[in-house]
Amino acid sequence: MLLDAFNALMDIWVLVAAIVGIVTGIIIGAIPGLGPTMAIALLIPVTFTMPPIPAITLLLGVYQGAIFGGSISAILLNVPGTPSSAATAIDGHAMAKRGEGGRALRIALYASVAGNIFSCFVLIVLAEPLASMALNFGPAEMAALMFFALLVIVLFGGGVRLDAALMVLLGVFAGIVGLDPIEGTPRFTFDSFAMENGLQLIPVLVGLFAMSEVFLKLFERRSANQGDMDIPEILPSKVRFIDMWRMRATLLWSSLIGTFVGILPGIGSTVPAFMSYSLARARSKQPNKFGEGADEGVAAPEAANNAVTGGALIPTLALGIPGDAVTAVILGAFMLQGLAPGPFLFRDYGIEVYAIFEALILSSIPTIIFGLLLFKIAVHVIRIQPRHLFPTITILALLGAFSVNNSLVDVWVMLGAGFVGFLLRRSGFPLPPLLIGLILGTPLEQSVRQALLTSNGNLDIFWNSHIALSIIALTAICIVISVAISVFKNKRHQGSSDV
Amino acid sequence: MNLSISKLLAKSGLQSLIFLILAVFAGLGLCLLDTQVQVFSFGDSLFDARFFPRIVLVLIIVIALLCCIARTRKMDEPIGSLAGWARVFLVVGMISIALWFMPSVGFLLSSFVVASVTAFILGERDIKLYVGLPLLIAALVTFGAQYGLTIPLP
Amino acid sequence: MSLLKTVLTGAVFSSMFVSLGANAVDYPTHPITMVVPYGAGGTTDISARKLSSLAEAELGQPIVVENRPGGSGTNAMRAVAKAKKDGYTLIATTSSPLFVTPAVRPVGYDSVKDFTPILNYSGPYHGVLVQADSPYESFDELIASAKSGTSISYGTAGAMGGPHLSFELIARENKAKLKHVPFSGAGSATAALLGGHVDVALVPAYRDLVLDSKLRLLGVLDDSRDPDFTSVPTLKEAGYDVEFPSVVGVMAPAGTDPDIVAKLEATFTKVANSDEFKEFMTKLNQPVRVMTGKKLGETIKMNLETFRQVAKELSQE
Repeated sequence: MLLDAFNALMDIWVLVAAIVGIVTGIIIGAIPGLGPTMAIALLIPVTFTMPPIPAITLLLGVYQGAIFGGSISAILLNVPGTPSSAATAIDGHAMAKRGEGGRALRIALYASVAGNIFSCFVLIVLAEPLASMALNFGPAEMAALMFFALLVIVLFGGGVRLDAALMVLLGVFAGIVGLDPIEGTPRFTFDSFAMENGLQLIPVLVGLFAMSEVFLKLFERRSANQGDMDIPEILPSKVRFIDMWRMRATLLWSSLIGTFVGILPGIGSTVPAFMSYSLARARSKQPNKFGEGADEGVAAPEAANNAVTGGALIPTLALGIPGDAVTAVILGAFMLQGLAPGPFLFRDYGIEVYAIFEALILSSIPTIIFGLLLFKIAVHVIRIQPRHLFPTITILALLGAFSVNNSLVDVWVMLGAGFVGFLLRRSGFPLPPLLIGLILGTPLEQSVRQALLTSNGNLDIFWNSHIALSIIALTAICIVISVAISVFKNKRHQGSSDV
Repeated sequence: MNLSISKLLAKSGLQSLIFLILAVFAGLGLCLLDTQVQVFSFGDSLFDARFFPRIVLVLIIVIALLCCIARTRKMDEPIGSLAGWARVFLVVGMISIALWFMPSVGFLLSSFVVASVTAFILGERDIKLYVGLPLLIAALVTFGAQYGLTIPLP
Repeated sequence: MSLLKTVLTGAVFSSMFVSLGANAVDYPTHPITMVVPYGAGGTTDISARKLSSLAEAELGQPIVVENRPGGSGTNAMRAVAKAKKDGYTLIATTSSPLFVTPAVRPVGYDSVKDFTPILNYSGPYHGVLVQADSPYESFDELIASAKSGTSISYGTAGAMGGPHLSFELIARENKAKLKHVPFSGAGSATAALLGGHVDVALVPAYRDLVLDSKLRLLGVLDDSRDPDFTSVPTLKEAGYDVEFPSVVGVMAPAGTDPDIVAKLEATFTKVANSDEFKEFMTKLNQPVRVMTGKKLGETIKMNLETFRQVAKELSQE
C-alpha cells in the first residue's frame, strides 16, 4: 500500500502543489492576523479543478507552512503571526535582539519539520487505534486535561506564579464575554449584538502582542531628534545537526505532546506549544536561560505546534470529526474531492490517503529549502528602524483584526487588547498565561458543565473515569513538585544569605 | 504593622495600580453579574451560567489583593514619564477616531492616517517617510486584501 | 444655456429610465456577492460555492462567496437584511438563523419581513442516533425508558438549536427525563455519542457511521424521511408532534426587484436540479431538496411561528 501510494506521488503537479502551498502558507502565516484558515479557504476554489492528491497536498502544505510562518514574525518582531507561535516569541525574539535571529529561525524551522515528520509517522501507523482512543475522551476527561494544561503553564511557564495565575484568570474572564456555551444566552454583552461573538482570539492576540509593542515603543521613545536607534549586528547563524540532536529529548517530548493534544478535538495548537515550552523549562538544567534566549525555548513550541497537524488529521480523517476551524476546512476539501472522511475512507481510498500522508512527510524538504531562502531576506527586517516598521505593523494589525470576521468590532477589541497589553507589559506581567486563559477558559467551563449534565450533577464522573483520574493525579503531582521546588529554592536563598 | 503599611506605600508604583484596577474591575463585574447574565428557566440549578464567572471574578479579586501584599521584596516600576503616557493616549485616541470614521472614509484613508501619525510621533521627520511610506504600505495592503484575498474592507 | 439644461435634464431622466429597465433586463452587469453565514469549508459553504460556480455560467457574471461567520449565523443575516436591494447581495442560509434563533432571542432582523426567498436547495437530515449496541431499538422504546425514570442524556450541536428545542418539547409533553448536553458543533456531539459519553445524539451527517454499524438511527427530525434510510420514521410519523425541517436556501433582501428575483430563482433552480450538482452533493453527503421561493417563504413563516410557540411554552416552567 505504501509503495503504491508512493508511485502515485510521482507526479509533477504534486510537487508544484506542495511548493505553492508551503510558500503561500509561510507568507500568510507570517503576517499577523491572517492565518491558515483564511489561506486555505481562499485556495479551496482553486482546488476544485485539481485531482485529489495535489489538491490536498496544496492545502496541507498551506496549513504547515502557515504554522511555521507564524514563527518568523514571532521571532523577528515579537508579534506572533499565528497564535501557535506565541510561545516561540518568548525566547525567539530574545535571541533576535541579541542578533541571533537567524539562528532562532533555523532552530524553529528544523524543530517544526521534526514535529511534522513525527506526527505524520504516527498518523500513518496509528491513525485508527488513536482515533478510537480519542473517542474515550469525553467531557470529564477533557475538563481534567484542560485544567492540567492550564496549571502546567502557570506553574512551570516562568515568571512569578501568582502573577501568571492572575493573568490566566483575566484571560478566562475575557473568554466569558459572549454567549454562554451551554445555554446560549449572552453574558456581559451589554445588550450589543456585536459583542455576542465575544473577544475573539486573533484580534486579542494581534492587539496584545503587536499593538502593545507599538505602544511600548511610543512610550519609550526618547526624543524626536534621536536619529537611528541601535540595532544589534546580525550574527552568523549556522545550526548544525549536532545542535538539534542535543535537544532530541525535548523535541521528542514536544512532538508527543503536540500529536497527542492534536488528536483531541477542540484544543488547538497554541496550548501544546506552551505546554511543551513549560515542560522543557521544567526539565532544563538551566531554567533561567528560558526567556533570555534558550535554544530549547524555541525548539519545544515549534516542534509541538507543527506536530499538531498530523495529530489533528487523525479524528478528521478516521471519523469525519474536525478538531478545529482549519481541519474543518480540510475536511470540506476532502469531501469536495470525493474522499469522504469517516470509517470508509481508509478502506475505499487507501492509496490516495496514504499518498497524502507521504506527501506530508516529503513536503518537509521544500519547507526547509524555501524556509532557508526566505530567511536570508526576512532576517533583515529586524534592521528596519522602529519608526518605519511600526506604522506598517499597525496597518497590518488593523487588517488582520478585521479579516477574522469581517467585523470592525474585532478591530476595536484589538485596540483595547493592545492598550491592556501595553499596561501589563510595562508592569512586567507575563502575557502568555492571559492568552492561554482566553483559549482554554470557555472550553474548560463547557466541558465541566457538560460532564455534570451527563452525570446529573454527580461529581463521581471525574473519579470514575480512569483517564480523568490519572490526569487529576498528575496535576496534583505537578502542584506538589512546583511547591517543593520553590520551598527548596527559598531555603537555599535564606541559607546563603545567612552566610 | 505601621512599618509594613508605609513600606507598601513607599514602594507602590505601576504594579500596585494595576492590581487595584483589576480588583475594582472584578468587583464591578460581580455587581453586574446578575443583570448581565440571564439564567433561563429550563437551565440547570447549581452550575448555571453565573457559577463560573462568579468564581473567576472572586478569584481575581483575591489574587490581585494577595499579589499586592505579597510583593514585599521587589520594587515596583515607577509610573513613568508623563510625556510617554501622553504619547500613548494620543495614539490610542487617534486610532479610535480613525476606527469610528472608517466605515465612512474607508480603510485606506484611516489606516494611512493612523500609520502616518504613529510614524511622526515615533520620530520620523522626513516627510517622504512619514507620509509617503505609510501611504504606500496602506495602499498595498488595501488593494492586496481587497483583490488578492477578497476581504471586504470598509 | 437653456438648451444645455434641457439636454442635461433629458439625459438625467433617460438615464433613470435606462437604469430602471437595466435592472431586470441586463441583470447582472457586475459580480454578485453570496454571503455564507458560516466559516469556509463547512457544508453550507461548500454547497453554496458549487451552486454559485454553476450558476455563474448561466448568469454570465461571477458570484463571489463571502464568509461571515458569527452569532450562529445571525451576523450574516443582519448584514444582508440591511444590504442594498439591487440583487447583487444574496445569502445562502439555514434553518437555525432563519426560524430557530429568532424565536428564542432578539436577533436584529425579521426572517419573514426583511428577506425575499429565492429557492431552497438542500437540507441535511437530522436524526436521532444511538450507539449500535444501545438497548433501544426504536424511538418509542427510548421515550418509554425516559418516562420510567432513567435519565437519558442527548447531545446536540448547540444550545437553543432546533433539535434541542424539539426534544425539550417531547420531554415536557411525555414527562420524560431527557437531559440536554450541548456541544460546539455536530462533530463534537457525534464524537461524544461514539465514545459513549451521551446516550443519544441529534445530529446530521450520520450516513457513513450508520452504514458502518457504529450507530443506529431511531428517527428523523425532518418533515420527510431520509432517502438513504427509508425504513426509519420521522418523529411525527412515530406519533410525536414535533419536527425540525432543515432548509438551506438562497435569499435576497426584501424589496428586491421581482424580475431579478424571478431570474435568480429560475437560474438557481435549473442549476440545483442539474446532474452535476446532484452528483456533487452526493459526494458531499448532502441531499438536494429543491423548493420554490414561495414554498420556502411559507416554510419559514410556519416554523417561525411554531418555534416561537415552543420557546414560549418552554419558558413557562
